[in-house]
Amino acid sequence: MIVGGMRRLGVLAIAGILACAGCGGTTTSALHGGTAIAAVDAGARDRDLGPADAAERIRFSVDLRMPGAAQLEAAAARIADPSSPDYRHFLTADDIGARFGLPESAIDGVVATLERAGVTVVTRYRQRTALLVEGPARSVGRLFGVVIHDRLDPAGRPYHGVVGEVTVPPQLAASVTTIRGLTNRLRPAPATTAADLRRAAGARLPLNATDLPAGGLKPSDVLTAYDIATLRDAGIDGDGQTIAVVSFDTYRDADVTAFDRAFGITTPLPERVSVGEPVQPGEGAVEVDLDVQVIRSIAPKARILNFEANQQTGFGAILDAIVSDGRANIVSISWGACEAPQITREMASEEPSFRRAAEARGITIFVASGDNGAYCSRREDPANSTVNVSWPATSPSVVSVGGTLLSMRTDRTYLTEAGWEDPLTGGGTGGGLSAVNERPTWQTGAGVETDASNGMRQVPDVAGPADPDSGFVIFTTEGGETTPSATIVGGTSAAAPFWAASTALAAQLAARNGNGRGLGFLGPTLYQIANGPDAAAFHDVTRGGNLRHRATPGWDFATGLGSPDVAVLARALAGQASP
Amino acid sequence: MTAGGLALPTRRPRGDQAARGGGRGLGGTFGTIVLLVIFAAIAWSYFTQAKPGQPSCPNPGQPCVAPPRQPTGAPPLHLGTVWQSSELGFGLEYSPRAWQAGEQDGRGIRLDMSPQAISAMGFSAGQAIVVVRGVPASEATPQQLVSQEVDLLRQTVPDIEADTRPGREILGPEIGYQPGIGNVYVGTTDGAAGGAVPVSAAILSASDGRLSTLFVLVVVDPGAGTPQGDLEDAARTLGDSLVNAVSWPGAT
Repeated sequence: MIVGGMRRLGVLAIAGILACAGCGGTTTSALHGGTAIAAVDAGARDRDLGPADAAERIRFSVDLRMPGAAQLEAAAARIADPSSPDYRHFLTADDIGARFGLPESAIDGVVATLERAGVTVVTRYRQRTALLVEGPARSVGRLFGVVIHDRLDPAGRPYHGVVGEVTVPPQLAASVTTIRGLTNRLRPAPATTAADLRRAAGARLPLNATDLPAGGLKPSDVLTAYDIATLRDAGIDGDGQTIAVVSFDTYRDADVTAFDRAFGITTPLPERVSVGEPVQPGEGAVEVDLDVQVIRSIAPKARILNFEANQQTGFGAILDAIVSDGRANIVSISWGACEAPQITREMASEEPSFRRAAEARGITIFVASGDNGAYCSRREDPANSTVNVSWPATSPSVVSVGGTLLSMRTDRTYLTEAGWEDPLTGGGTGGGLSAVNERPTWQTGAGVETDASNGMRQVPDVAGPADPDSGFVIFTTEGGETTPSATIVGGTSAAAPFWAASTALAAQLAARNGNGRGLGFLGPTLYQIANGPDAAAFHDVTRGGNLRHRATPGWDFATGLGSPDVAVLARALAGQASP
Repeated sequence: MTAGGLALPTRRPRGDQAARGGGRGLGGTFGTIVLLVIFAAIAWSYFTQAKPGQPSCPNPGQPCVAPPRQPTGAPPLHLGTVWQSSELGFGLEYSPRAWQAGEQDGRGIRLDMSPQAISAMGFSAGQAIVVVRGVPASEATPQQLVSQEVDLLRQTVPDIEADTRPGREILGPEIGYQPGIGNVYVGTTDGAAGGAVPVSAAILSASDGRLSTLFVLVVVDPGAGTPQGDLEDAARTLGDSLVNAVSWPGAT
């Protein structure tokens, strides 16, 4: 059943190419008094193909002004304040829209203006934060006073961008704050690292006189090593919890079914939620397989909503869709693009979607910190050793998840972990300082303040198994094949859903305790736990690193606060949930 | 015991090396099982106290954290072959399917990538060798070990020089998670059929103040490969598992 040879290497090579696109231009236009100034939206080595075909469909987001933005911020602060009567009284998308958004009549006016210009509304989010819209290139260009051009990035992949300054019509200026997506050059890359090559060669991937079960981490190994089994034995299996997976690809039912059959999982398959056009399985399908199957390993009864979109859809649009959908309060993101310098504006425009989801809706978003150690730029250009970190893991509204190599005892219980770093190939857990996001006030505690600290966001926050030497067994259909087979995949892409699923168990335990409202955004809470009497909820990782920073006692740039003892963490979180 | 001797590989039977990590006492296993059963019973009792809608914590709204799970005492899991320096105490675990033990002494070991491994990865040519050795720190610093190794390699790779191409540097060099120094060197050697064959060598060294260790990965004909990748990529991937599997004396 085990696939081997060079096929996985081929996948890795493709992933590297995909990653290249993330270093390119931006899609943001910032409004100033009704006029939008187009950001730089093309890379220096891109090729302009001239004006797009007039009928080419352009999909983008129109961010709506929120008259009650200040009140929303205050409400979010009360929701996050344990001393407030509003603590963890999370808002629904409808609440947010009705209390803080534009009146429906004003949005109707925006829609009418867009439709008169030939632009149709694809999605009208219930929280009234944005509209996902689409129209022919010529109409869109006329509406905003630009010409939409087709371009190729250095990897030869097509995208579209704008020539000229975006000007918003006066009738929209009072209601619209930002246009996102007129350029769709940014393509996030998955943070997966496969271990097939090592296994094909018969390498048994040892660490410091320890090793892993042949064939990678199976669900039973993960449950035992991270103290999840005791929860599962008590019936804590994710039942009643909903996890949204952000995917720029999709999975094949057969892959998940094969995994379920192999490990005795009988719960319904994940639900696909398309953001835009339906997505067909592509080169990133293994990423989606990994996300979904890791979650099912840990929390098999959790409902999984796979929010899938093509790679040119912005994160913000997908987060808006998740908030509007309203079912999930845990999100796993295993995709990202390197931060500086190209996509800072893109990130700035997407941040409000993350913040609203995290604060007001009480959603915790776990994001993979990347697989190139402290040198994210190497993912996009192997010759570029610039210190860089991966976004959206650097958002202060998410929990950034780094990676480790797990070592176990012969009974599969936890022995030790090391920050994942592979010096010969340059692989490793992403971590470092954000260049664009400031450090949130809640990121404090032992180890956080270092000589490198400069007031900017420090990542990761936590860690989980990611080194492909302690990779997860999943089932996927390799390129050129028609049936799924077992493979081993690691990367911080595995660690993010690992945390999402573990948190779902904690939320279920809290609900069993009568605290069913949800846990809310866990960033601050995790730091409180790690620096309080419940610190044993974390395995503090003190070996290894990320090719630049060492894992040290307390928080560090390689593994953050560490990996969880899930049972202890769940009880800590459940105990802290408000009744 | 240097990669510089790559033209003259010596192979020895692995003998009892493979068995070294294997045997465990029945008593220990039984004790582990007993402990697990007791722990599971306690855990089950703890969690099953909670019924839906009923708090499992003594004081709802307050932290109710049980002590973390205690280590079971079971031994570390070993599935590879454990080699240990009889003279200096550091060790290495490797897969006998991927690597064949070659020349070794009390201070180091040479591993050759097995032909089966090379074939399994789809390559039809090339060779990869790893040398791991140590010296008391009083005998050599990491920098001196690297210099000595380059000099030795020069005997078979006369034009060896540091590879200064962008992207070829080793970021975060370490051995067994002990930070150190490292670089990639390239050159050519005489091929068996005549003509020059390219060689690359990744050389890393680290010290804990008592012991200095050296890790060398030499790839002969590193560009050999398939459209999907070359032997050097593959050897480095496998080498990462080895470099992280070096254990220092006294380490966990």
